[in-house]
Amino acid sequence: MKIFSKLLILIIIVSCSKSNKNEFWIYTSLYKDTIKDLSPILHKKFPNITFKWYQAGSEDISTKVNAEILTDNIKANLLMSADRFWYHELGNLEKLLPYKSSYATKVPKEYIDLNFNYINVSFPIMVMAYNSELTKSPPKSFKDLAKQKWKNKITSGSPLSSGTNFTTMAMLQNSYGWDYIKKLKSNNIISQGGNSSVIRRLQNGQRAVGWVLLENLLRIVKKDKRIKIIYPEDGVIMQTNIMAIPKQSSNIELSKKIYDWFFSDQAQKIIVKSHMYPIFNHIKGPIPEKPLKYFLDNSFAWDKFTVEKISNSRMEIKEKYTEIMFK
Amino acid sequence: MRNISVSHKILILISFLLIFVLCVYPYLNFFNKIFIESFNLKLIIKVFTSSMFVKALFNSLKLALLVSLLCSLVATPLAWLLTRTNLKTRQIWKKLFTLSYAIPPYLGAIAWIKLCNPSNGILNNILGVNFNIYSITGLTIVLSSFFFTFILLNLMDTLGRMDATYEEAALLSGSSYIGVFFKITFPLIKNSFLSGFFLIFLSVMASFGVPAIIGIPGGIFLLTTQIYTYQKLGSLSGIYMSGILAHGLFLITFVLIMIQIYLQKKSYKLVSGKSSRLNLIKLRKSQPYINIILFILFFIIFILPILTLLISALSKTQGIYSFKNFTLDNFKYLFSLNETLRSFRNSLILSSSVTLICLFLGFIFSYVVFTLGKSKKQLINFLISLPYSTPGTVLALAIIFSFGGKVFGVNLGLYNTIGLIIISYIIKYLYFSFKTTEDAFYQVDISLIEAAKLSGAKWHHILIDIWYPMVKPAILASAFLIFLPALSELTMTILLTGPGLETIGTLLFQLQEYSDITGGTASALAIIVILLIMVLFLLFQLLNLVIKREKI
Repeated sequence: MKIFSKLLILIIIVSCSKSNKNEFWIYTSLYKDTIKDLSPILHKKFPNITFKWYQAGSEDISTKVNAEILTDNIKANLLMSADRFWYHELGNLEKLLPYKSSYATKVPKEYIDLNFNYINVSFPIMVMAYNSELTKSPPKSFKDLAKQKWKNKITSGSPLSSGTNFTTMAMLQNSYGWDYIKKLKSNNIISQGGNSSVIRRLQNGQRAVGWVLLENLLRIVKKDKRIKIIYPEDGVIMQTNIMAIPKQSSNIELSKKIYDWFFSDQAQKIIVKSHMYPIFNHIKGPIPEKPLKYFLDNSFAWDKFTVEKISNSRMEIKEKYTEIMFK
Repeated sequence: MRNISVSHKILILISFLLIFVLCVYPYLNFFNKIFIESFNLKLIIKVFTSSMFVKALFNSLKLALLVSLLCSLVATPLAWLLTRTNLKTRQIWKKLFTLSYAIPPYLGAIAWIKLCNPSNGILNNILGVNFNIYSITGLTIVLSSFFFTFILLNLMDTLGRMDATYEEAALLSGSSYIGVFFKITFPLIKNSFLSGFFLIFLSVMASFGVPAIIGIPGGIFLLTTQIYTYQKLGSLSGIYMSGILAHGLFLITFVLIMIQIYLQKKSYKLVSGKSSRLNLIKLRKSQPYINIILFILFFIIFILPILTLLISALSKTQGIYSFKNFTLDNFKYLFSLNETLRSFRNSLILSSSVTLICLFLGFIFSYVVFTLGKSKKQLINFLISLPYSTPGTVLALAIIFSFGGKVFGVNLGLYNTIGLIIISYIIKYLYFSFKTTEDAFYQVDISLIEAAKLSGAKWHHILIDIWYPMVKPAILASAFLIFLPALSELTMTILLTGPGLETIGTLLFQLQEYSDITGGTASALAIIVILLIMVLFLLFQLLNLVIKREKI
């Protein structure tokens, strides 16, 4: 009995210990190695602040934040993840702080919310990849994947768990219609998990070809010569690494400072180190021979109408996708 | 109630209060949020009239039934073989088969995909077959390879404590061993069997991890997949829809528990105060063959998945099977992450504290239920089993709603603290300690207690000096049932965790799905977790030995 009562007291103490006012919480889908690089520099820049990271896939972050909104208990001081359409919805629900940072004017207008609720801080890029041991004549475009030739050979991440995969699926559906998604299903696409799981399926030979983020591929291609990158002829899909400040952030001023810091050369270079493209042209991207402009010119078009359209039908798109995949 | 002391009444009152706060309040709160505060008839109709709902319901029931039946077919004869025969190696097999409960099913599923995926499954290639793991059969086999331990542990415990005089009497009267099993043994162990059977049925209905990795690529849509899909629609109405469907699942759970209670109406006493030596069936020439069969079974269930994970953990590049490709880099990278040690520390704190609290509460609640009689038993049984049969993600949402903000008007500040995760684990796993201990209470011959009462013993003396030693093996068995799944719990933790609160489960998931650059780090972590579990398992065994010696 004594052990139990001591334990209970300990739990109550641990549970109810007050949170440190100097804590700054960042919810992000950035990779662990990027966070590892960012942490000491942020700490140096803001020595009195303890930075806390909640790292998860974009869709897990949105589920967590949605639950926090419902309980009126938002802890995050800064949000940074890939699902732009979710941020658009949060902005419309007035859950985000409109902030016109001095950097906002420098960011291309397609990548900033008209009401300054959110902004893109860097570019992950969705390309395709294949295992050269399994196929010698890889597909050339996203459109090719719908051909019967690729039956039982395709994989992708799930739009339900990965923000970048939702964006990709939504953009492909927007361009090629639901028939395209149905053909992927009849080709038995394995559409599950995040981008790392796609790489794994290519590596272990479960699937020959798939779409996956360039940053994941650049981490692996030097070590695993079997895996090759495809820059799709119908265009890459530019993703967005969105940043926003929750309206209920406990320290708005600090949120703004750190928001701005992510546009500094120092922060942008760390982002490049993790193989994403920086938001500004003056900083070199991870592939010197392929500057950001190359990808922007060869990508599926982003415009405010696309964003609005996909944001408004976000739920329907996911529901329809689920229906097709499980019928 | 009339003849019991004030202190006893207080114990009953506190127990009811705790059961209400842990097992009823989150649901009432959740129900209020979904169906009263945010009532939306359109959404309710949409959820229950969706064609996917019917499909998901049918698939879930079918899968749960298949897994429960397969587990029964494997675990019942196995439990009998390991407790009722003179198989020389039975003590070793008992421990080894129990071990497979220790591997988190999520890890097993990853290994089985590597072994039996239709494109290039290692086992498929070796055997020259084309078994598709992404199928209802694949899902049934993988889930059964973990869940069969629920029936096995229950039956081994009951058979081990069973009074053998009934069987001996039947044998002396000329019955055959098979006749004795069906006419004497099975009716005696029926309740334990049904507990295990329904526990598996409800666990499969509520399981998400394995169905997600194996079922989703195979297009097998379950109720939990639908709940997950709604949650991941990324909108607030999606969360409401998942809540609405979760209530549908509660209803099914309610019906299943009622069926279980109806089937378990009649119970028999298994343990009397007198000792009785078991009359073991003599196996002679068949022993080596049985050992070979058991080894093959154990190899498939346990060794094969671990070997697969080990190869992946040691591979520099995934999918290349050569000694040259072996490296320790994945382990080095794993320990270069700040979160790794933190996740082990957090998981150990969580699982040990939750186990202790659950054992304590399970023992007290079982006692209270036993003293109150059968009418209250059914209700309490239902209330405590509800969280276990609720999908983890939904339970986590109900807990966030109920304990994340204000609790009865007081802000406890539990959100994003280890305290909230502890509460959620207690709610989820209390059923194990309660059910196992409660079953043991009903199997003790009441004459011992009556004798103590006649001698003037007070209720707390009876509880500590008679009940506790009698049900101690069951309490210890439930410790094992709680500690190990809590150590690597994922589905609830992923929503409840916050900065600095990483657990083994969440780290595994993050590595597996998002952040595993080398592709083998998740497997490296899995191997370390399995090693840790084996060490803990040995400790449990030692503890068991100590308790047995104390008895002697």
